[in-house]
Amino acid sequence: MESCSGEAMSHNGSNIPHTPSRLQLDLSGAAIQGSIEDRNPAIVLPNQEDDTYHLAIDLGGAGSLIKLVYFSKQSDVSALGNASPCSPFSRSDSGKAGILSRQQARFPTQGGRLHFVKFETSKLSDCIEFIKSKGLNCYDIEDIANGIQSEEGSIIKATGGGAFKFADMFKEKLGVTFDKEDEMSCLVAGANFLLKAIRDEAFTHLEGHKQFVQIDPNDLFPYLLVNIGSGVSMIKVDGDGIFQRVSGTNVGGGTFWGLGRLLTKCRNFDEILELSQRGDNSSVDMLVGDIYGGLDYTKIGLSASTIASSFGKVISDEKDLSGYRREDIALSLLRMISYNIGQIAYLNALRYGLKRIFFGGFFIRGHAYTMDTMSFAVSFWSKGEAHAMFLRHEGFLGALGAFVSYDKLGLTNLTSHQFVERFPMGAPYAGGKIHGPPIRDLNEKISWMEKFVQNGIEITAPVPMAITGTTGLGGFERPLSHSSSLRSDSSAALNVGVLHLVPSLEPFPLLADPKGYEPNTIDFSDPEEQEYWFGILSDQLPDLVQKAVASEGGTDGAKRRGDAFARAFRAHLARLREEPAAYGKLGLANLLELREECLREFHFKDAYLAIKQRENEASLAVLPDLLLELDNLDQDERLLAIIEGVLAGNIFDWGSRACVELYQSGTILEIYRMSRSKMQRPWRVDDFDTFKMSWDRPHFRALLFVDNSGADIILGMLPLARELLRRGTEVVLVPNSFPAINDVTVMELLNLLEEASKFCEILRKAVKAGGCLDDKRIGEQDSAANSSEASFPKLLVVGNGCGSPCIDFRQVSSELATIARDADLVVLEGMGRALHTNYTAHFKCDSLKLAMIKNQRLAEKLIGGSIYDCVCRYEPRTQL
Amino acid sequence: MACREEFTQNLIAEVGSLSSKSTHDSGKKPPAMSVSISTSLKPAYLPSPRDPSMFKEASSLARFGLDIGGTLCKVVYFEPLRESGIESDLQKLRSAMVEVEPLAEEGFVRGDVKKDNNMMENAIVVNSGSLIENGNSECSQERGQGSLPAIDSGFEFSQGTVEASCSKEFCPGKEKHVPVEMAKNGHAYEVELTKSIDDAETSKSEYRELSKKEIFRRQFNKIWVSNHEPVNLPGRGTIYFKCFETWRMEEFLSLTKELLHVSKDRAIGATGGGARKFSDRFLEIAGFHLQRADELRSLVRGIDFLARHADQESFEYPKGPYRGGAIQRPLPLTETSSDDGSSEHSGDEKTISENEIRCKAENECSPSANSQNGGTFPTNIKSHGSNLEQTDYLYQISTNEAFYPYLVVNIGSGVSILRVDSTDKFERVGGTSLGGSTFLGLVAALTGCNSFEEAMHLAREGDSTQIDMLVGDIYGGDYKEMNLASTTVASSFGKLVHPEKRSAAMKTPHHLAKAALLMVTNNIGSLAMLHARAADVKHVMFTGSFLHGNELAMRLLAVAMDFWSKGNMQAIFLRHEGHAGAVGALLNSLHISDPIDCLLFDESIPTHC
Repeated sequence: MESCSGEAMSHNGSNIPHTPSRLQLDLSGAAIQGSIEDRNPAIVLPNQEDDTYHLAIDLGGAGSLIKLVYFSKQSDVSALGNASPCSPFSRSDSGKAGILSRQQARFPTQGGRLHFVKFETSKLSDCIEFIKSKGLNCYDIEDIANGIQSEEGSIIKATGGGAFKFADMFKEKLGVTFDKEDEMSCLVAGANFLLKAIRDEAFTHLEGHKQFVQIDPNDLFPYLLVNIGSGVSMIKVDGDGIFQRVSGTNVGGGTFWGLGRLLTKCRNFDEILELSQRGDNSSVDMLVGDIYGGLDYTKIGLSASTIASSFGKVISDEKDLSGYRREDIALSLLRMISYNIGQIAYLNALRYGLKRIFFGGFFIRGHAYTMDTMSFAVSFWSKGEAHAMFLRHEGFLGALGAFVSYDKLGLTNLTSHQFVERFPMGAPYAGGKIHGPPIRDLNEKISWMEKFVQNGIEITAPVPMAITGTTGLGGFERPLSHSSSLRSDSSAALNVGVLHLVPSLEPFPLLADPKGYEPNTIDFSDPEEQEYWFGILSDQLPDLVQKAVASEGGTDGAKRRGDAFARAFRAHLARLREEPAAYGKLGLANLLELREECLREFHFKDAYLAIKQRENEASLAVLPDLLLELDNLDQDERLLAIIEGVLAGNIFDWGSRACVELYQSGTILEIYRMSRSKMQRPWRVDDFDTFKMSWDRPHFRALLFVDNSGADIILGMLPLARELLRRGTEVVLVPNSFPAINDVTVMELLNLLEEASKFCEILRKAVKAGGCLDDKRIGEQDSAANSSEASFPKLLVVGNGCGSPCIDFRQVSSELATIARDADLVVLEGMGRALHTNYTAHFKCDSLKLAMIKNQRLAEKLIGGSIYDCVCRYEPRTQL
Repeated sequence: MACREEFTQNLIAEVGSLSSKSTHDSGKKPPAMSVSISTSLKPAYLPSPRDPSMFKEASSLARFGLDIGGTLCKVVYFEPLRESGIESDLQKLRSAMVEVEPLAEEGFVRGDVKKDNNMMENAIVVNSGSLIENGNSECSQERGQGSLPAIDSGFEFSQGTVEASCSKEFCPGKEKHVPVEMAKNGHAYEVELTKSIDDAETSKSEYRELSKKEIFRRQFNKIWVSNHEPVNLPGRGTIYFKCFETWRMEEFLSLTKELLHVSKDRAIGATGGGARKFSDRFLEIAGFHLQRADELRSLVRGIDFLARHADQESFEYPKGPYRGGAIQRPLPLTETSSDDGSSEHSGDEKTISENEIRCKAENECSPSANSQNGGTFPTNIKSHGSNLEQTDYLYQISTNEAFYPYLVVNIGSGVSILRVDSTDKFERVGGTSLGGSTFLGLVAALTGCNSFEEAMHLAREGDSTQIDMLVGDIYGGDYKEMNLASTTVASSFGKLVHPEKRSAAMKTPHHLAKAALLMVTNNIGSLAMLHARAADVKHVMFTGSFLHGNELAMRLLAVAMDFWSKGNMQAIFLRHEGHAGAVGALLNSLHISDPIDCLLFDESIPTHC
């Protein structure tokens, strides 16, 4: 039987020899291809092996920034669109070719990554050097398709005022010709793309607090887009490509920069912003209190600290410019401009009856004070009815829009579930800004890290942000002078990661309320909650590094990488402590996934590989006995015993500190038996009896989301699967596509099934019926299957498309999404998938959530219980 | 109430006589007529009616109104006309005041001055014009453009003429004061005028004999930063308009103590934030009580009053192309651009300067627009006023419902935007901190100048295209896709981002001043427009001291409103642009029982006053 898994197995099986240069396994690529080795580590400064697809450039006016958006894709085109190895289609569609064509028809866009890079305009030569060294100037889209390199020089989409000015320079130095796109169209296209395609793109910012706003892509229009560049344009957007510039103001970023430069003598934009951090505008601005003798003008709602007249005090004192603090002037200027923009924006929104106002453009720069001031203005004038919203990719609207205008890429139709944003090394420090030449390979990156540390620049920025005072006119208090804060406010700018375009990701179709779905169970906006988990991850780090290094053979190179990984991950944590929203909306799922991503980035393929193998072997050894024991029970007892087994097996979790401690004191089987013996009903959450009643009616197809390797899968979930199969239910085992802690992966599970089939006839037949494994591997001698086996319920393995200990049902593999449509039972097992995430999720089909709680804090918060309590939560399908 | 009716009748009679007179005069002096009646009566050789001696006109009967803003303190006072109708009342009042008067003059050191007070006062008044002429250079240095050669004074030849110009003929003692004869025709004015001029010339030599009071007066003269023509209320009196910078309040108060004959038993009407802030200081230093009035209410009431009583108080600019740096200006419509499209575009920058030169020339040549900065009443504009026969929106402000609602954009230190539904119903709908003081503060910080006049003078000479980033600078031409002309200011001060431009800019303060002026004005224009739409009004009244002598700003605002509303909205300005609040404060302090106060009552004032 032909299977695409052949190639996959050969690369990913535990017996594959690893050559150092082919160690890379990157989640992003793998998210689509499952098994295909990825040579493109997802870093902001990717190595040369990246096959660059295309580049768009936004050249702002003077004093602005140069923004690049470029796309890289996997060079192995044949791998694209490949389904995961055990897809049921691999058989019915008779192989790879069929799948490929199907996938391509469905996804006009090939998977790849969008990179966001920016340069100061004054560093134009750096930018040109960057483009050259990345080879971004060499290809155009036609040539890529035809596999030829253009001799004429390629054409690059460019927008922004500078596109006119710098065209000749780019032609001369890079041999590229600009295809100029209209600036406003690009802004609108970029904003539409971001708001539709990127989850948690928009956020509000009030009094220093960011809150992400979920926007329904179907209810996006109309909105007001306020782009603050040198000047300000206000654009009413009614749809894709349907927009009108309705207003604007000439008091914008250029005014801030130009006036600020004259008045403060600062040399760059950020310097003025930083100065403003320490300013007190009351010495420069005339406040209501100055006019009213310290009293409020309450009758019309103006407090004493309201600015009556910006710079109004400068004339009444007889001192010249040097008599004023630069900080104060910078702050006054910033507030004047920000507030004014907010006010004019609101008035335009009012005029056109628009509910949403989005602010973008290079002026904002994630600067908390600026955003607060604008938000305040909008909220003040609208009496709290309108909200200013900001975009995480605010500076890249134009560049992205220009990029989207490559119509052949078909990017415009993509939706949020097809994008995964990653924050690889470089991103947390630079926010997409390039420092120095591009890094070409991993070793170079590590040495850069080492140098970075040696130079004494602490990666972490531990001083937490002082809560910014409110700002602006009318009721804005003067900001606290937060001189104790060493932190630059500009670091509050949100990070822009690498956008992985994974066309094959889809939302899980069985969610009862896809719009309202939120994977994280516990609200992570509570700083205490955040701090707890940052602490846990921080504590686990040394152990993880040790395991990771060991998994790569403990070589010097591995040690070096382990060291770099630890630094990088600590920096991530520090960054998040500083600005929890730095990488978008933060939840536990994202945090845990970030760690796995970081490991992969440093080419640790599977840190727990050895442990998983050891546990698998030990568990497999007792499986025949367990199955025999179960078979001897009557049907009622057997179901309870099986569920008990699932809960008991779930104790083996290397993600839990408590469990890791258990490991020190006993063998796997001892722990399992101990755990099993503690299974006294009723459990803390015990819907077993309801579940049992539903058991009378066999299900058609069950999806089993499995958790850990070892006893968990083998002694817990496999017997459950077997029981379902025995009752004629088709079973789909859904493991992770990529490693995360000791969670079982697709490849491991296939190996396990191969082993289990050797002594269990039920599993063997089901596996054979499912066709996930080559017949030879399950000991099938006669390829002509007999008729009884052909009708046997199938056992399938379908990767979930993730590499995280949690699961986010907004983005799963298309194979899973497809096969889930006919499923009528979903079983979520383990803390990550059933408790940390999805505990409150409802499904269109029956669902069973099984887990043993191995975290005291979670036990208390979630179910008012304590550690080692069990959860068996059953919910019949949600009636729609 | 009987008293009031009587006045109303008088008023009607007077208005009638005045209008007939004005038509008559206009026949005589047609060139100046289009501008202003009061100026038309002046001989052409006379410069600004700037009043060098401060409270010269103010007798102890004067009624004051103050609007103490953040930057400027506006002062108005009403000097009643001694008319037979109220003579008895006034005499009674005056005799009552005699007892108070010594208090008011306590500050005088020399006994003889005290004795000859009134005589002295008159002499000085007449002198002061020539004094200032002599001391002109000195003044100019101190105040830059702020001080203008000004021979003053007796030109308030209208009916309300008071002591200052007339009383010399009469016996100095107030008790014996004989009411001024009503001037009934133009000849009377001319006679009087000649007399004043003669006096001014012959008394040059006397200026050494300055009384202490005169020294105070001269100090006062330095305090004032602007001057406006008085407004005559026929048969009732005259309202005078002054202002000074609020930071000199202490100075003002101590001078006031010396010069102002206000009976201490009554409060002075005051509004603005300073009415509260300086309330105690007024009492402490000058001994006055302030009667505070709500700021917005005073403003609305003052506008209403001025619009109805002042000659040609309100005006608008004719529609037409004015390209003086209008922001966000779309390209001309295709039909116009097809005619002279290219030339118009390329000539845009030129148009700016040409236009400005033209305006300046007009200012200088025209006898009516009597100075670059003092000329509050530009030529080439369409006026509304009580004496004009055509579209008198504001004359009918209290009766013409069609005028309401309208928007008031008051540009002082900051900007307040009010929607007015009637004299009693109004609401502050918006405002911005980018106001007059932002312009002044920025220019002061950037160029080291230190007065509004200086800043405005700089701005008039400036060319902001050296400072502002224009659409053309970014796109190399018009931004056709968005219909923006290349000369549109894309970003104020945006060119300063270049280091070389920056150092050049520091050497051209006038360009910087112009850029600041455009930035503030354009922004106010945008906000006014947006608020006008939100409030759904047809008329937008721009007031506030920022507009004083600021034709550039007014033209820009007028053009912006006209352009963006496609002719549906009208920008209207007031000649006494900054004083409406002070007038309102004055009106607010009136008592119906007081015969002088009664002179100011009219149908616009609710009877409960």
